[in-house]
Amino acid sequence: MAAYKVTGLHSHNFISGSEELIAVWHKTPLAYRSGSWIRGATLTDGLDAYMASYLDKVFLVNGTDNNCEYNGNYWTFSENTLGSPIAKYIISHESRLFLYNIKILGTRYPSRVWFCDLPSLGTVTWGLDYGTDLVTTAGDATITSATAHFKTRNIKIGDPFFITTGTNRGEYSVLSVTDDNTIELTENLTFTASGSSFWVGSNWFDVGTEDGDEGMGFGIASNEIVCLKKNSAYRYNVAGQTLRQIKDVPGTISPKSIVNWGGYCYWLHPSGIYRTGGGVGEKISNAIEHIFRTATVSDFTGTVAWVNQLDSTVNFSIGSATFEDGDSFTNLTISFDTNSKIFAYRDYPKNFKVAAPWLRSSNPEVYIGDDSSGVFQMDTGTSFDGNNIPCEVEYYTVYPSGEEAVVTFNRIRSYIKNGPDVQIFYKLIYKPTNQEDVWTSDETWNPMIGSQVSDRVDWYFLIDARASGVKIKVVESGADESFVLEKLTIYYSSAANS
Amino acid sequence: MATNLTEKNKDLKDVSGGVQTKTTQFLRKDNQVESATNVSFGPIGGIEKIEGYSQLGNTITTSSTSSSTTSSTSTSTSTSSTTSTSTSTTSTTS
Repeated sequence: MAAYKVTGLHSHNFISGSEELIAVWHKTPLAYRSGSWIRGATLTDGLDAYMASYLDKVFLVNGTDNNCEYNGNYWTFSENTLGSPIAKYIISHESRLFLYNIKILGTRYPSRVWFCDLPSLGTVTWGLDYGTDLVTTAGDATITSATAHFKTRNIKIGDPFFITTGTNRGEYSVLSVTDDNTIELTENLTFTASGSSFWVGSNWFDVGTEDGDEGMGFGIASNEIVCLKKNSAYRYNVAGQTLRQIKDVPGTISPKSIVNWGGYCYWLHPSGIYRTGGGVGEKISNAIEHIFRTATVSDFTGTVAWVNQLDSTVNFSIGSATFEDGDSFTNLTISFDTNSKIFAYRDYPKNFKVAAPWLRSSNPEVYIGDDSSGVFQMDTGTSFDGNNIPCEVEYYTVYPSGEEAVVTFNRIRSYIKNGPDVQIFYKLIYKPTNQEDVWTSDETWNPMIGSQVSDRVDWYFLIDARASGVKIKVVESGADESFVLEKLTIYYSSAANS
Repeated sequence: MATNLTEKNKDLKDVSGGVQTKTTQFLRKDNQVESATNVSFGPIGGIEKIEGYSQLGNTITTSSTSSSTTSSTSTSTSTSSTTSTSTSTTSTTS
């Protein structure tokens, strides 16, 4: 059976009580319901899809197909998405849906955001109509389109009216909407024509149009929409309808790296991890800058991020990476603790393509989709789907008597609960040599002698462990309940007394 | 082994500073580490292994049960229009 990547993931708990996770896979969105994957509409194969919850429905966009929605019973392209422009990205905020990097009549507007009208009686219109059958008469301001739905789709007085082909090509303004097929413009048209292409509507704004860039996704910060492009970031205030650039931060080339937590919008750029609280932006990844400066990363564009709400971490799954010192990762994931502002790494044995939170039976959970038809619950259990979780911690060199003194390292007393599989390794740093003014350091790790058979155990160095400093690495791999490392105590003697 | 009376000790009991590779070794704080993979600093000052992951349901296949969809007839000829028929099959669930 062929395997495909999961290209979209979203959760929605319907008012009816049905809690569902929707995955986009191959050519279809599927809803996980009552233990089974239920297939839905037909889409173009393999496209990244983004979803948003709105009006107790799930709206889906993929930049190519007409937008569609799911109400818990069926998928449809012809209800609340009818008349909406095709879009790459979507977000729900302040009672509206916003679409980004849109397409109207086959023409892409990469920096344009289109938003829906306010909902009425549980349904929504988009204030947009378009067609290719416009009929105009010279010297007359009235235009008609047999296939239009001007009134139904809520075209408004004052809306800009664009004729995009033919002799009357240009921008006009709506004076009045007569019926679904007839509009009167504020000026007479010059030529009689038929079959012209047009679109009309005003529910849009452009984000940095003249920069040759394109919209890459939405975030939320300080109750404003963060509109990210590849090289820039903007914030849009819905109530005030104001757009401002967030200065001195880049955008993102990784749409799935955009996440929101704790009042901040976070995203990844090849130069680092950034966040904004709405006003200014900042790079937060300085402590691990080597990942972005010197490490070899296969592809930042597919970075997938998620928030673990229980431990308040924001996690960025980057994929295959190799550090300058040779450490390699199958799926390097950077974990940032938003409370303590510290970093740790993870290495997963599979590639992640999408991630989504799901409040399932009142439990905040996180799910990821991989590149091989699988969806997994993250941060659960003691194994990677039955496989051992390998872990290690490498301490910085400890110089017990300062970098200049030479000591003899005797043993390490480890306080580790539940750690029978723990191993400890060491490297001696700045060992004296036969030459008075030359010191060397171990290049490879030496195993310490011992075994964590209880919560407090002594491990021993090999003989003649004389040096100025020692690096320690703790390693464990298993599928059982985790150990807890509380303390390591290094015992040493001064060189004169050893 | 008997305790050496001239022996001294150095505690490493706080790693709450997490990973930091920006500075040289001589400027790092005592509670920072050079690397930490698949561990969390959940117990303040200590280290434990991260949790894992487990598969949700079965691997997705093309034999998943289909749901009904409504047809979509776009009135604009230039947009991509997908049509679907309302069907409800009883194929094997995945």
